[in-house]
Amino acid sequence: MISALHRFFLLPVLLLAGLLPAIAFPQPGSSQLSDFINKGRSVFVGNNEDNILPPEQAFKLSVEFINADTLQADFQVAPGHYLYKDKIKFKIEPDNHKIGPPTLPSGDWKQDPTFGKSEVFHQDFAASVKLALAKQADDKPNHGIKITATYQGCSEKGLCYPPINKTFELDAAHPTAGIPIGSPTEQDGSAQLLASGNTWLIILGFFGFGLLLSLTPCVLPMIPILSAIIVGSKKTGRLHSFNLSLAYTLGMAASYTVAGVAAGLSGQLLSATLQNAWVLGTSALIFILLALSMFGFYEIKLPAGFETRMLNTSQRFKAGHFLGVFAMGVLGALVMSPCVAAPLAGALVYIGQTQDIVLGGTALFALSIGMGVPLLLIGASAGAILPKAGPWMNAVRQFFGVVMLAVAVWIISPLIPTSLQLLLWAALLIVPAIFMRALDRLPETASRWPRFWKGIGIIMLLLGATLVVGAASGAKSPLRPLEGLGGFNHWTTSLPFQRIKDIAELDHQLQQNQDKLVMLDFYADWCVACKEMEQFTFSDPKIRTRMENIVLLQADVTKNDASDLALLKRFGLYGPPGIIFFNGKGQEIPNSRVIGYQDAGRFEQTLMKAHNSND
Amino acid sequence: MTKRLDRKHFVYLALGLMAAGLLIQNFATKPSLAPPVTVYASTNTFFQSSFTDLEQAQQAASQWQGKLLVVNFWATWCAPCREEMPELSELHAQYQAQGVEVLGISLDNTEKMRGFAANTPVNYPLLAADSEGMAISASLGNDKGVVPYTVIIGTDGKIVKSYFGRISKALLEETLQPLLSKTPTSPG
Repeated sequence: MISALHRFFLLPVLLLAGLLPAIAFPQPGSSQLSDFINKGRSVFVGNNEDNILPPEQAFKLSVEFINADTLQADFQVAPGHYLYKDKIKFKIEPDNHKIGPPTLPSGDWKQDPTFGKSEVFHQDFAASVKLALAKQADDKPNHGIKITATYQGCSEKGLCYPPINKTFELDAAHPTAGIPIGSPTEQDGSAQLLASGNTWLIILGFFGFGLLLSLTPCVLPMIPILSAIIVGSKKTGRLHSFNLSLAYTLGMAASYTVAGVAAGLSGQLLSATLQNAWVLGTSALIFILLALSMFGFYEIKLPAGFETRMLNTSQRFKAGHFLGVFAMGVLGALVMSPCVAAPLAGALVYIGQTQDIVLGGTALFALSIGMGVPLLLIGASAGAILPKAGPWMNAVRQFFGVVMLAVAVWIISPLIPTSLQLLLWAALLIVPAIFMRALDRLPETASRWPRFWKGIGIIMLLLGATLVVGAASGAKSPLRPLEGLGGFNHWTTSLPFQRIKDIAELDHQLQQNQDKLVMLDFYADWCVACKEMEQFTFSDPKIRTRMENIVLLQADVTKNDASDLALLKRFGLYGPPGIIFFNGKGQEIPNSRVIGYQDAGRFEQTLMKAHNSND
Repeated sequence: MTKRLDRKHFVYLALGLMAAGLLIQNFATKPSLAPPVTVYASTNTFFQSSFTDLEQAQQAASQWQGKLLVVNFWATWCAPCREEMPELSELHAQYQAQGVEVLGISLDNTEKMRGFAANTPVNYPLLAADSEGMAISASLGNDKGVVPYTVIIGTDGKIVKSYFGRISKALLEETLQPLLSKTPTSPG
């Protein structure tokens, strides 16, 4: 554990120490220095040239009539690219027709060293143009009208594209009013926010994201753990406990920032990295060790020889605590990762596409700080709320011990068979129940509290017993332990997913199923959210009916081998869960992706949207 | 592992976080540079072309054949191109005596290029290729159709390295210096 701690610290310290000289001697304008930094960066980032998008991919444009005399031009701007507002122009041919100046939304202000301030678009946007079409002499509909759009933009990588002319024949632009424009998914939202390039807005936005995420139940296990740290610390006082929670939050932030940047750089499967057996096993072990100390088996402290010295040097003791708490924060972040899958994926897709690792890192740091705010509040108030040590504290400590064991079980649950999982949960319920005297006789004279706790204890005992029954009867989820006993089984008729292995198979399937809505689901055995989707969402009768006329494809990326990676890369995904919808022409339906878990209600909406845009 | 060590680590860490913050600011404002890449393209089309210079005279590219050439495709509407021009000027001044020639080939028409050069003069020849510019740069390997695009052509008329995007003097020197030390300087 000590060496693990060491490693946690050594890496960032070494990394930053290497970069410190650059800070210590700032030489603005020195090309040598910036070259040095950039060289270092391109070593990590790899060859930039591969990632220069051809102009038609950097900027996409489609036009459609929104009413008889108004044309809407939808510009799609790839992340890390921008279009100049004043370079967007429209022309119409032949000359007897007129076209008005485009109405454009307001863009971002970009400071160019040579041009000064100019207005640019980093995100997708729509321009509307008024048309005044001349009447034909014979009152026939207009034919052969050509609209030419001219636009020019650059990439943040430091290169520009020459002005692009794109011509549309108006005959080919079908009137397409009435298509519901889906609201962008969560992932698209965060990727777009990053693409806007406004650093402070990004930081603020991700901070807010983090704050919202901290309200999800996944973060709740962290709060008692942090409280345990504060309870366990010998010193009380508002400032001290605030500092402890700050150390924890910073640990969490460091973990996210490093993980985010590293995953973005290597393009590796994020979930696989954070959720591989080694990391999960180690963190579960650490939580078990912490839990055991909460039960009083031992104190996580320095050897006894230091004990007396430490009493005299309480300052040093404090520092030791911060370090431990920081490390716990680092681990805590890993535990919570399934909860933050969607915004994390958004940020990482962006990092992967633009290779702007610094911006991505900053965003993730802000996100984790946001997530830490409730923890900081608890820390700041704990000194006041928590009374001084008393006999009840042992009970609290033991409770936290149980919570930590629960976290440990939860962490390793993807790795162990379901029946063992159920037994572990059962043990976690039954053993504390016995300790709560659930089976002891209450004396006639018992006061209210023992009676109350006995009641709670019996509930836990019964729940534990059902879990044992579930383990014996082959239940598939700790949340439905008795399903194996039920007369009919929900899961016997699993959805007719067709397995695909590689891109070639996917293309083949897409070709075979022309004119049908196709859903591709990325799945892996170690992906908790995938299993949740399977158990709670896909099993819903409403969802099943909706999915009846969808072609269901599933890519099992458990092995994470080359063809799996190629499939994921094609869709810019870092790992499961991910669901992609294709329209009848085999193209992905924009804004329809599902990243992360969706419950039946939300998934139904997603399916409806996908259906609508396919009709 | 003594406690003293722990506290030291903690202080390092705090310093490290601060440094990271500063670094982030530093990075965020820096444009990234283009790494050198190897392209496989013929220089024939380029050496057969001719361009209009700032004095409105036609200049055949063949006159530079045999020199160590740094051909920089740029445009007045391209901010990164304009940013790197002072460094190209420096490069030209420093290595001209050793037979290195920097050429700035503009995708603009002569008029626009002259307007730009009047405000922001450089010491190397600026040549307007107008609408042909993109095709010529594509013939030199610019399959992405981007500017700035910089090609280093060796004395044997073969492309040594190309750069898609922003370059700097130091970046080009990395490729140029080994070439200069190999061939004896033969000005003219």
